[in-house]
Amino acid sequence: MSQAKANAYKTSIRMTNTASEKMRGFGISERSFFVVDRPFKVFLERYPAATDGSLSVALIFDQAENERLSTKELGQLVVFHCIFANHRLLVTNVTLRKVYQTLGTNWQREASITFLDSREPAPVALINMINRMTPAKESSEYVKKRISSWEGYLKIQERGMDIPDIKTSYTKLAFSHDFSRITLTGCQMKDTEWKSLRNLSVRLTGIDGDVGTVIKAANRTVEIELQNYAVKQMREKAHTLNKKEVVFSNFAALSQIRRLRQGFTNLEKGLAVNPNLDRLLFEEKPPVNPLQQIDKLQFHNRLNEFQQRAVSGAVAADDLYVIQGPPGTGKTTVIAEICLQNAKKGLKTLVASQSNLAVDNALGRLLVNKDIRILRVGRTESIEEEGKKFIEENVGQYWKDNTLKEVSAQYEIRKNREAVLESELVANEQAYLETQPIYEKLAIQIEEKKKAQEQNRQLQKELEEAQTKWRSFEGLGEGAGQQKQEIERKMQALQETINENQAYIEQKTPDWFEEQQQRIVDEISQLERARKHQELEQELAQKKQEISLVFDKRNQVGAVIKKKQALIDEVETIKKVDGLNRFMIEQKIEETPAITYAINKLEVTRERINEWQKLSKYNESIASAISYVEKLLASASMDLAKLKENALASVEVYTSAQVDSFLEKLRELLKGPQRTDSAVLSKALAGLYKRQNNLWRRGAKLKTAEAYIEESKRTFQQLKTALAAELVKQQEQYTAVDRKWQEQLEKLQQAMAPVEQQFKQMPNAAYLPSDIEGAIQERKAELGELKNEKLRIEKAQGQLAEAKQKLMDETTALEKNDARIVGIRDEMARLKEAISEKEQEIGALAEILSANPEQLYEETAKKLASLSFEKESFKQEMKNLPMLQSVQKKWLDLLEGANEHDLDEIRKLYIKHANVIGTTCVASARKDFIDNYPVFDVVIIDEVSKATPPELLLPMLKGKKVILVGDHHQLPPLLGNDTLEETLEEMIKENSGFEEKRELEKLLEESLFERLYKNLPEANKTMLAIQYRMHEDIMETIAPFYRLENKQLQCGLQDSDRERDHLLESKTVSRSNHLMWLDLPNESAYFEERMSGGKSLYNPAELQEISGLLVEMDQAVAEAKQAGRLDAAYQKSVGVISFYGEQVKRLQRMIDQELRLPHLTIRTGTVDRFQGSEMEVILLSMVRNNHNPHGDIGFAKDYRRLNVALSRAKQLLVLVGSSDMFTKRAKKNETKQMYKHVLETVKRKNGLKVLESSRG
Amino acid sequence: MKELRTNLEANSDVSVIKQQTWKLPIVLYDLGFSRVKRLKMDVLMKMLLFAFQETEIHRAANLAELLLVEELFIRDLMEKMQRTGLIQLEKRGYRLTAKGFDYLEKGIFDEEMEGDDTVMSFSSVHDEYALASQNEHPEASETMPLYRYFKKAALNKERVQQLLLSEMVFPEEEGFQVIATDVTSCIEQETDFIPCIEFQLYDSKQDLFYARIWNTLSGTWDEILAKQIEEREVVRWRKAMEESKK
Repeated sequence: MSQAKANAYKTSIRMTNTASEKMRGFGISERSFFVVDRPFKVFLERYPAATDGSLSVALIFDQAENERLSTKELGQLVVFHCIFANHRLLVTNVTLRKVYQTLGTNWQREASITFLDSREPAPVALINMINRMTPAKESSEYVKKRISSWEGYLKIQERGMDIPDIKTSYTKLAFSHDFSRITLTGCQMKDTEWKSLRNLSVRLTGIDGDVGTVIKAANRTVEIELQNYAVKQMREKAHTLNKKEVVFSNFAALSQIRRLRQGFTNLEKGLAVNPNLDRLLFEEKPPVNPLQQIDKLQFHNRLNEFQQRAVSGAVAADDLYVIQGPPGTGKTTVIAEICLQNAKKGLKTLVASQSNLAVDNALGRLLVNKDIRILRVGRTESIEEEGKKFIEENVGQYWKDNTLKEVSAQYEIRKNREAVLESELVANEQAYLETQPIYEKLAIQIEEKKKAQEQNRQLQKELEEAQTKWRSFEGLGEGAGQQKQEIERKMQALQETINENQAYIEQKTPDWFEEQQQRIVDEISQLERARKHQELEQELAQKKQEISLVFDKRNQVGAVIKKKQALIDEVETIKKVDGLNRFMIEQKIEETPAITYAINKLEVTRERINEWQKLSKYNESIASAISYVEKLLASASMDLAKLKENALASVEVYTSAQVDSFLEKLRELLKGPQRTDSAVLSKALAGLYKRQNNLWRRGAKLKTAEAYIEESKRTFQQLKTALAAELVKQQEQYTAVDRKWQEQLEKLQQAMAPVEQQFKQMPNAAYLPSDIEGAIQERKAELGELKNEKLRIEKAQGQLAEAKQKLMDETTALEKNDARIVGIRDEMARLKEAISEKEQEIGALAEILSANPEQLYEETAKKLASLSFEKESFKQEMKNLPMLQSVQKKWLDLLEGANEHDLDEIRKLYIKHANVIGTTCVASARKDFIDNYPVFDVVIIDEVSKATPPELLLPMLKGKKVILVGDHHQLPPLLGNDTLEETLEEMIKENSGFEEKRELEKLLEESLFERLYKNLPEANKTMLAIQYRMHEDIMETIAPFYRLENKQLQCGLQDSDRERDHLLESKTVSRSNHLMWLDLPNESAYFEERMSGGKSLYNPAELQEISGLLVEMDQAVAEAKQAGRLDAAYQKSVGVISFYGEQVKRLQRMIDQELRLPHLTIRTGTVDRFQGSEMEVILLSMVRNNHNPHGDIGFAKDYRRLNVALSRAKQLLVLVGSSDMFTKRAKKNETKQMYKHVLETVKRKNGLKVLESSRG
Repeated sequence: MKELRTNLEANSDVSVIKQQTWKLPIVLYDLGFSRVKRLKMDVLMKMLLFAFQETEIHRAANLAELLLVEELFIRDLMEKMQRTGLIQLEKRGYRLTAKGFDYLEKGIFDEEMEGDDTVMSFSSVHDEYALASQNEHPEASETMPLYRYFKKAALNKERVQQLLLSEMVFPEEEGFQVIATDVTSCIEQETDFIPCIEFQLYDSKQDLFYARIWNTLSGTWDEILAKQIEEREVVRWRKAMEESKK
């Protein structure tokens, strides 16, 4: 219902006529909302889209705006129904809505809107915001749909509820023996009314409130079970009632269901404080917000790691946290711690639970702490003792008691404080006096130390100087030593040089050099002479050769000349031209012009002869031809002469070939038919005349043949002569060459003569090396070497002199260095002495210096300061003490004397500031409670698994954050007095609708707590895994039920045997037994029995056994008391429980009537009723024992019921029943396994007692 | 007595197996006490006024520490006191105004009233302290036996004081109340002997033995007495019956 900061918008708005009319009806003036001085506070609720799809929204005006809108007292809220038409806000209708629970639901958004009288479109931001909203109807539908699965719970409870109150008189009222019930007789009612009485609540005229519930209405009597709170009133007043009138009503039950229904409606309407609650409850994965970061918490209770985790997680969670708490794991401690943490943070917490007892238990265990102000809200009469002190009328007293306790405790402490303070002061003074001189002494010590430090500093300085000096001398000495070594090394080297040079020089004297040189020079000259001789010899030989060469040449030339002479002679003999030509070619005679002329002339002559011969031949041929043809023509009388004349008229030239071919053609002609043709013959004769003429002309140009022969002979002779001349010329040339060679020969012979002379004069050496030149070079090299050697010797002499000089220098240096070394040594010895002196002096100071008076001084100073501070504070306290004491004394007196009235203001303050409110789930939905406490920061619901989801919803609606604590491995909710199974059985018996049965079965399977626990992320849940209630042995029996959780159930007891020692020894039970099974045979003598006409079972054999066991235990306690193990006034708490109500009833009766057990405090109850309780000893009567074919064990088969039954005992658990029945005969295998585990654990702990025979 | 019995025996299953009467001693004391007349003022308010007068208080926290009271309460009250002009904040802390002084004066001043006295009854069996009833009640005869489980017990002074404080109410006047303060004297007077009728009953249908004791002083079935008897005797009754059957 809380809303984020309102958004501000400005928008135009228009009205339809309908809207305007309606407005006028409500007295709203249109002008009133255009006043723009301040915006309207409006709640927007989106509607499903209008039929045309336009965005539809309702503007609900805050009630405070009514004044501005209307002149009338409307008493309701004004609602504008709007749509957005063309982006403009159009009001289509105006209605009124009731105020209660209308505004600020989770489906609405708060806005402040200023309305404008314009035609502007509405702002986009506004439209967007509405668009983003989910239509309220859809959200409601979502919730409605899901919450319908819870309807079954309500339907079951509503069965037969629609009956009006029945009022009747009675004649008699009788109490049961223990005043727990009354029986009314003499009631006047119709039969139908009689039948509907069961479970109705009962009011008696004259008694306040409901007295109880009808449990039986039969035989005209009504049996009523009284409420605890009504018993006292009834005892006192019942017999004095004047008017015997009773009213049976189901008003209380109905109003409870109404409240549960209202819870559904509120969730549908979006009225949960946490706007996400519906999704957290119904989504498969609850959409929880991430945990907040918190600092490490400081815990006020002692918590184990799981408890710490649970508290931290619950504090850090933003919306939902679930704590799974197996039996005895300290759930209530965790709740207490969370409440305290919340209180410290200024948060308001609601602690709710299904039953008043659980609420009171939880509140009762909260720490008494100033920061926590607990208030128990609810009907006073139904609140248990634990919670009583927290009800409104008692909180003043509660506060007074606690304050008084605290103040008086402090006051008592302070009473002795003065004496303490005085002695403290004396001690303080004493301590101060003791400390002061120490302090002063230390001051002196510090002064001395300072001086010593100064001295020490000086000495250290001097010491350091001396040491530095010493070190530098040491360096010097080392240097000198090194220098000495260096000099000595040098001297040695010098001496060696000297020795070497000396030896060297002594080897080769100057005379030796002279000797050697002479020898070599002589050798060289001798060799040179030999060389010259050789040269001459060679020259002479060469010359001789040259001469013989020239001789040879002269001889050759002479031969040539003779040959030429022979040739000349030969030419004269040659007769033919061809012979001459051949000769010329043989003798290679060049053609001189004369020769050439002669040859050519011979050639021409010969050609003329040839031509002439040819012409003469043609002339004959032609002449014969002419004569032949002339004859032929002669017959034809032709004028030949004329013809001849005509032919010779033109001179023509013909070649010999032309003449030949003409003649050929003529011959062919004359052979053919044309030889008689005169024309052709005339023409041929003309041709012949022409050619004859040509031949003649050509012959005329030539001499005769004889002339030509003559000419040839002359020319041949000329040629011979020319040839001979040529040969003579050649002969003369060779003669000239011969003369030249002769001259050269003479010249050579002349040049040879002196050489021959010289050679003859030179004596030849006796011995000569083969390579004279090489020998000479060798000697010259030797000579050079000798020269070098001489230079070296000279150099060595120089070096020797130098070395000697140096040696002398070094010797001087050595002497000087030695003197210096001695000086350094002296100085060092002196310094050494000085150093050791200083060191001694410093050593003498060490003791003073090493002392640490400063720290002590400081400590002492501090001590003195703290002493005087302490003294001051003591004095201050001393001074304040009387005031404090008097104020607190006054306060104590006032408190002690305070009566109810004096505490009234305190009570009001306490209620005003109450921060932990406790109430039951259903009571949290009462109207007055909602009005007083509309919202809680945190809602903690305890024993969640025992409440139905509709019950849980009620407190959940009120919390920003919800913390659920429970255990889904324990029993599910009861419906009225019955378990769900019982209800189911009954419904089957009553033949009610099949539908409802199905629904009920579904509900049996689903547990809201279990679903949330399983589906929440790790961060939002914790299992408390350490239990402190049960002895380890007992715990082992229930461990399997938690085996599937993340954590195994552990025992938090350090030493179970010691901490859970029941201290009893008896025939059956020994000290070491903590877990036992009294095993009854599965035989008819021990079988269960059914009440005649009843449905519940009981087992007389088990009653017997338990009776014996109780007597034995009572005895054992008495013995333990005698033995001093137990206090005399102590009563062992024993719970006797059973799966069956009838058995419990019989147990109770037996205990009341047949047993006297002064040492035990016994409580009996069904297992279901015992959930949440613990006792030192628990006896469990298992009842079921039969030979039925289906092995039915009834309620005992539910593991959750067994878990509760097993986990109630702290020290000793005794199961009484037939183990065969449960471990062998049970129908389902898993049931058998479940009990087998228990039996085996019992056996392992040596707790199995097999009953052999029944007790008498 | 007859009526009682008939009433009990209305249920046909129930039979009275024994009926007897005896006397229960109740000791009467004369109580003298002093009284004061006191202004009606809340205890914390009074304490605050007193504290402001006595000491220097700067912050509510100082007082919370001194008085071991929730700071919230003190702050609320201080605001109220400032608003009504009883205190004001000065340099040296909160001080009382003239009105405050006046108020405190009245508040702490208890006007001594004349002492008064009354008669108290004490039933050791019930551990019950009560102002003696003015109602007439039957006197037990001398011959009646004493209640067989009667035990004398000493008075608890505190319980007496408590009784006075809660039960002695005097008429108020103008915002003042008159309160009984200290017990000035407590003198044992005579012992009243209250006759009681004891029924020992058996419900045959349920096989139950139980007791009903009619206390003539209170005019009711006395639960405590019945319990005391049942606790000690029921088993014996059953045995006796079983034996008688044999």
